[in-house]
Amino acid sequence: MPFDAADIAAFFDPDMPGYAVATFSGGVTVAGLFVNNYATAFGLVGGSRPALTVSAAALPSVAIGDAVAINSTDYAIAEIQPRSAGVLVMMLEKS
Amino acid sequence: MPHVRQQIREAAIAILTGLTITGANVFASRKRPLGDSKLPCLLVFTDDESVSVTSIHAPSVLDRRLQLRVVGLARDTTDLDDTLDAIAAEVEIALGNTDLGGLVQSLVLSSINTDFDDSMDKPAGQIVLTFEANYFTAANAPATAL
Repeated sequence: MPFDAADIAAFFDPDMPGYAVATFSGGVTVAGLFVNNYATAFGLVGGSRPALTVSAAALPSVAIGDAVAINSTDYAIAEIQPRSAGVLVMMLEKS
Repeated sequence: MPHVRQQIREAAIAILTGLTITGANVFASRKRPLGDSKLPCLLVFTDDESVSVTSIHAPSVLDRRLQLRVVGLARDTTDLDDTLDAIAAEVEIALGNTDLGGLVQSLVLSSINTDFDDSMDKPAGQIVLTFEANYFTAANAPATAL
């Protein structure tokens, strides 16, 4: 049985780990799950790999380069990864 | 007294410390990834070495060609290419006309390689300058450059 809107909405609950409210251009706010895991490049440079997961229906026209603010930090969308369960995973880059 | 390899590495670090872009961020033998507070930076490595014998008497005189690798690292959201090329220019100027305090007969740039990683919160890039350092030692005295 495929996920419906209610199933997907259950993932974006304030009790879920990483829950955050993201603010996009124009003041649009969307509930999502934010992770900012440690990452390295070339084995020599340490940083992080921020990613935001949201319901695809909540952001029908999101595009690479769009600005988004999460937890008082400004990012730009670097990559959009649609998933078959009706969610979008967006890899972020600090502005 | 340390091996001439170490002396070469330390001499290169001394020359490269204080350049405009990388400043005091010049490191040898890093084992852990560097955070933003240490970038942009230079890493200095003394890698593989080819050795040939130039005399028939003992102890032999060894003609040694050492790969001296200088890695420039930077993270930036804009102009990362330009930053890395500027780092390379400063390194080439600093090492382009030196015998490292008499340790080497020649120090010549042999290759430059670049790599980029844009999967993190800010893109990271590296530029790798490899120099060939030619020096001589007696076979039984690796800590003394001839």
